[in-house]
Amino acid sequence: MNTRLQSMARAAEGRYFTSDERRVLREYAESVPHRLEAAERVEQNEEGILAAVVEEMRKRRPEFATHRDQPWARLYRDLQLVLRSSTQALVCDDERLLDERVLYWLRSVAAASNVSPAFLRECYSALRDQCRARLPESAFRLLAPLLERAVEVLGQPEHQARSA
Amino acid sequence: MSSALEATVSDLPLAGNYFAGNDYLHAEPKSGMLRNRGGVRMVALPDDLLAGIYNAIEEVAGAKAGDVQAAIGRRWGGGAAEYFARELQAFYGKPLAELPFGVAVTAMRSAFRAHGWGILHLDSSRYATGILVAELHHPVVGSDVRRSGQKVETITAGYLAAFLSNWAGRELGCVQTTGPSADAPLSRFVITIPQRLSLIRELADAGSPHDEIIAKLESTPAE
Repeated sequence: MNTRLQSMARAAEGRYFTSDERRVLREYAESVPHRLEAAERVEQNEEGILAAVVEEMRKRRPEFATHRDQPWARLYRDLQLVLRSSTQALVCDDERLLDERVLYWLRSVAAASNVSPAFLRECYSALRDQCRARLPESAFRLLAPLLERAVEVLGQPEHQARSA
Repeated sequence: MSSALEATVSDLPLAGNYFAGNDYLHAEPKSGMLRNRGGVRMVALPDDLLAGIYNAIEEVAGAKAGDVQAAIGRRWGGGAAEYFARELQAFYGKPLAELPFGVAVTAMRSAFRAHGWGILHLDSSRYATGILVAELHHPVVGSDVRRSGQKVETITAGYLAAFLSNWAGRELGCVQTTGPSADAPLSRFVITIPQRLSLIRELADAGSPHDEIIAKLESTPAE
């Protein structure tokens, strides 16, 4: 489930976990209740967060709707997917899960749909900011690195990442 | 959320990359089989086996080798397009034809990456003139083939032709214009209707630059 723990288990083939590895495992196990608590807070506040981001982007970038089919509904869905996947990655403590399931894919979809990296950067920065405003500090602190990752990956032009 | 927005949002799929890393392939230790998440049986194919297949076809079929390789690619690509459409429909809850173009193209790119074929980029900027260009970075065969000055990815070309023919709903052909075996950093393929490909096949075989081949195609009528 967690890429780092899987790698550790693979490296420990034929031996017991070292004291450092046991410490990593124990720290993760002890963090799980806090991660689940944070995930519950995100779920409770999802609708308010997403509606606020879409409304903000409607005001800031009304031209986004030009020549697009269901633009705001699709944007809502994409934000929802990123927020939920970020929350799963938070619970699993696995940024790679977010990268592989959603971020690289969504960046490609956006590029093929002529949605600019600048728009995505603005949109997902707004997502981060609404989460900061609406979530308890303890929950946002755990979620923030994943939302920053979303801003970083989605805000990168696809052609720069093509050979990656 | 406004009721109007909610009505349209609920109709849209809430799912990301079907081909994501650990989600896509599963080994079944009891049966010794490898399956993808759609239940299709898969086999890990080392690239020296693929090179061996190419070389064996060259030795046995001689001048007909290219035709045999292209036929293999077309059979493979045609079948792949059908189960690709089935799997995506099951995952996204909508037929492929009803998914946004960006989602379908990204799924094809993700499929190539997940299967180890390389990084695919589909250039549809000339679609209005009936031309598609596929770029393949780190191509599966081209990267490990001795430089011979010839393009050798005939199976890939056949695969792309059949796969995209299924999408387009009409027969398309595909010609490779550049590749690592001919000293290029990546492989490029031109996809269009077979009648137009016949105009450029000689240019491609003679090693003409990709841009010259595209210019020749663009100077001919689309139909």
